[in-house]
Amino acid sequence: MNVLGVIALAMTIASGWFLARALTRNAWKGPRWTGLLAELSIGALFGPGLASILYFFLVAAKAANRASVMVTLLALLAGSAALWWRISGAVEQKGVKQAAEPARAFRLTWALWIGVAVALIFFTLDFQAASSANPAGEWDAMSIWNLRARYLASGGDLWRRAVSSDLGGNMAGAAHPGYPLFLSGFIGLQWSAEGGLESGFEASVPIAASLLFATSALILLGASLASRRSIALGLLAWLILLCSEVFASQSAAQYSDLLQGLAFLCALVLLEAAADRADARLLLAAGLAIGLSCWIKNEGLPFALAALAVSAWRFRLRGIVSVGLGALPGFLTLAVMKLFFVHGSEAVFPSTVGEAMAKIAGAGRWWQAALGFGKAVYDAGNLWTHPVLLAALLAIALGFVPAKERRARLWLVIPIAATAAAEYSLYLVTTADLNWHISTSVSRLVAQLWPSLIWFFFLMLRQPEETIEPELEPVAVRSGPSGKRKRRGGASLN
Amino acid sequence: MRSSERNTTLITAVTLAVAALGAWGAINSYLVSAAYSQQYPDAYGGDRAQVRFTPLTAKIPASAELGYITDLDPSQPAYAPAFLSAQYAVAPRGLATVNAQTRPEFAVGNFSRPSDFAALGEAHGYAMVQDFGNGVILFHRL
Repeated sequence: MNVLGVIALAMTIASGWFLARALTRNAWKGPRWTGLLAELSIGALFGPGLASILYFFLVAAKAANRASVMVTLLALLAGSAALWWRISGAVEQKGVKQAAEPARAFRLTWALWIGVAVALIFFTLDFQAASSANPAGEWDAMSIWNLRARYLASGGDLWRRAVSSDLGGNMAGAAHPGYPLFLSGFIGLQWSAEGGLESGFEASVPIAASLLFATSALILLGASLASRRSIALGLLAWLILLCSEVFASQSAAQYSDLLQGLAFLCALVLLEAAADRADARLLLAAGLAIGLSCWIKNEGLPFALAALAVSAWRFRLRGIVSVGLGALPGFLTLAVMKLFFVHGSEAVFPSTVGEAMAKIAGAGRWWQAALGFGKAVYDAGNLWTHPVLLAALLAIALGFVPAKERRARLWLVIPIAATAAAEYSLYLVTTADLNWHISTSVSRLVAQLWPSLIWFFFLMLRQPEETIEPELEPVAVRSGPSGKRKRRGGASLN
Repeated sequence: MRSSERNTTLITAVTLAVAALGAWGAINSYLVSAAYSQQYPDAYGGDRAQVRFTPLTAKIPASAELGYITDLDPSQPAYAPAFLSAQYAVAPRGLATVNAQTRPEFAVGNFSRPSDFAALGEAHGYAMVQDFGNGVILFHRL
């Protein structure tokens, strides 16, 4: 990656961070570092997402080159920073301070930190080993995401090859003209900043993007739980995700699936935070994440529609306006791309309703698809370190939050369930060989939902801090009119 | 043992177990990945294709649409990986299988073994322009 590529990447991330910081100011309750990590990881969705949208319009206008990309990113950065400056200034003027709730200590937090640190080191080594062996990424990176990024960054009319059904030599399932362009656009803009075709399309750009999105999904999972629930739960969630083979194996693939997982998780975290305090800015941020989730892959569309529907139900008219406004950039760009630029359609969709119905009627397909998902979950980890096993152990030991709280949070699973149902339905109607289709895609679909499923599980779990009786602590008491405090030993449950 | 003590012991045991097993899961994942990477470097052929096709792409304009000629049959498992890695290596040049409807001015030969490349090209209506080695050939429409 040359200097201009690094600057473009830095400006994109910084603009996302300013935006996330401005919009999610009141969302974080725990220690400062948890909020900072959550903002950075949400920014890793917002910045690249908005930058890829702007880049798409530059490309479509045949105006994408090194200068225009750098100016656009500078404008995005300046706009985001100005927004953050204005909002933080307004909040300070009103005298509103972000109240950080004191973190209750769990006495085994040190052990969890050690586990997370070791797991993180080996996750990084895993990423490095896989990226060194396959710098161009895995199949779909070469045949879809990075390939389309090359077309986008090549200037002139060549970008139209990225949305053409002629790709893949007419092989079934090889051309995806309608796939959204978040990842390809983000990679393409960095290649354009580096000089486009002349830059030689450095492999380090998609590798860095892959690392950014995988680590952001990881960080957001633990940091949001650590901030909004408890540090111990955040650390446990990190451990569960880090030992998930389905996550580790996708991190260096240079695919869109972990980016999709980041967008899903981001939307849910922000919706949950917005439910806690009806804040228009938080709802706007949630909407932005929802809109961007459908600019990543087609699977984002059912998620986005379900998330908008539950937002309308949960936040009523006033809330849905904010969510809808936030979702506009993603939705509109997807609509413009699909309506005006895409040539052809996905080869795996049935061409008539009759064909679809005939496939749905085959009972064997229902079982086959269900078994496919079951096997992907089974393959999500190794026997003794399987994330489901570890999650079950935690559920037995810690238990779940009271039924009233569980019911109050249940709505957050609706977008995840709708996405899983849509993915399952696609298998029922696919015109491709079902065995091939399932074996080549189901683990990636599970990878998209995995961080959100873990987050939702931990949202329902009791905090370790709640389950252990407080240790005996010296208690400060007021002694006499002087107001001086003396310490005395003794137990207090208050 | 009181119920609360049992609960505390269980939580302690499970927390330590999850910390250890979670870390071990990540270590195991790395060991599997490192062994796989060592055994199958460039498993998808992207790097090999870049090296093989670079001399050819230097001679063809970026906007070109190229035909694709190969000795692999589409029914063979190696056909799709060979095509897709070649498509990536020559991008942003387009790549399309040569047939009665699609006959671009230039075509790329991507061959898996030594053969009479000129004859194979002529069978598709193309003349051999240059052999770049490693089974990569540039053809021109006859």
